[in-house]
Amino acid sequence: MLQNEENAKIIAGGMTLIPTMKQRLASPSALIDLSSISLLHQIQVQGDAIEIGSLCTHHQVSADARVQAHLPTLAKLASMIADPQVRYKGTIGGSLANNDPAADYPAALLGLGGIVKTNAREIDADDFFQGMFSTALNSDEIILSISLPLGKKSSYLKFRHPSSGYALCGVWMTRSESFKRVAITGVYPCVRRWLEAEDLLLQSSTAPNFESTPIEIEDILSTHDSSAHYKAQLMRVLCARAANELTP
Amino acid sequence: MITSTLQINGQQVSHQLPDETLLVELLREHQSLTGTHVGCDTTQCGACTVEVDGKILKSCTLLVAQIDGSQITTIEGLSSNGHLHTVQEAFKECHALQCGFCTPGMIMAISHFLKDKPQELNDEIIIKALEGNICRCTGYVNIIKAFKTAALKMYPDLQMLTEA
Repeated sequence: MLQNEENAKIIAGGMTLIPTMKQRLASPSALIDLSSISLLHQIQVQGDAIEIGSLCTHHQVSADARVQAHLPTLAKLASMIADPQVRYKGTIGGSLANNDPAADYPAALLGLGGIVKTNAREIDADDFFQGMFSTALNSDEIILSISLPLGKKSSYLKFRHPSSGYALCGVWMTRSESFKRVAITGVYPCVRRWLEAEDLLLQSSTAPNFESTPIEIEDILSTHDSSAHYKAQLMRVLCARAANELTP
Repeated sequence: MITSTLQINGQQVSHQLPDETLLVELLREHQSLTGTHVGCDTTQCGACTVEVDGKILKSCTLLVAQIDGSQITTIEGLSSNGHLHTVQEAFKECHALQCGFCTPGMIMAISHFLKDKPQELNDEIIIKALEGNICRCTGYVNIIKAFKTAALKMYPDLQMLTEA
């Protein structure tokens, strides 16, 4: 259907797509609802990874016993998205495919170095996010599941905009023996790793404070209520807190 | 056009509707269930909150085409045999409304939250449970009071934590 109908679009939870259509910012010629495909709602632990079906809602991820046991930071992240009504409908696959600059899940995927599995291929997190609302997905490609590695200590901290609730800055930090990653959301036009902070984590065994770690200020998406320097400061503070949480 | 069959407040209804019909439109314009309000129409205020298959959702952001065969409960379906729901009684008792516009959505969210006994309750938990509902009259103090009153009526042994 996606190949035959020009401008057809997949609808997952619709928590972004429907408001976008109501504002006439999107007018797909047809919507394809995947919600009756039960395979896409499953969560499975497979070896050293957890595989989450693309249509799992934020509520489902936050309440799932396996996610809570094996990847508690992800359950916490899911419980911090939007509000209860939206968490009952919005999905992990929809959030990743939409790639909103202030969305939470992209930080988890990138900060854990996960894999997006589609009907055509497997895409590494590092290759998946390509820009504001832009991903490596082709127009006829569907996310089936997201695979996230287990056994790594991670932390997710976000500073919410007091009105919209979206992340002004969200930091996902993973810190285990040989694997250090810092993914930042809400700050740049697209989620990205803070490589200088990762280097600092590699060099220190204690919790660093990131006060003088270089930040690409010119790339930051500033708005009328949050300047680039303010967001940069949020990055430093949240990273320091996350590192503190992850340091024994 | 789509054909939709839903159970609304226990009654089965079928409609032929334009593809783009939202649930709130069906409820208000085709079923005359005008207790469900449209406040912001942008998925923020929660005045349109209804229960769909045991989950609370914002009916302004839900296509009827997405929920064929579902069971819907609206504010009109909360009372039984002429008796108000405990949360409705608590709103009355605590004067938890001024203009009343957000009230149906607030009550749907609170009654959903209180369906299962919470392990504990305090202001922080209540505020998080009501994140999806906005009151424009700034009546939150009495809404929180009504939340606690209803919770204690439904679960007299509920642990109500004092604030940290």
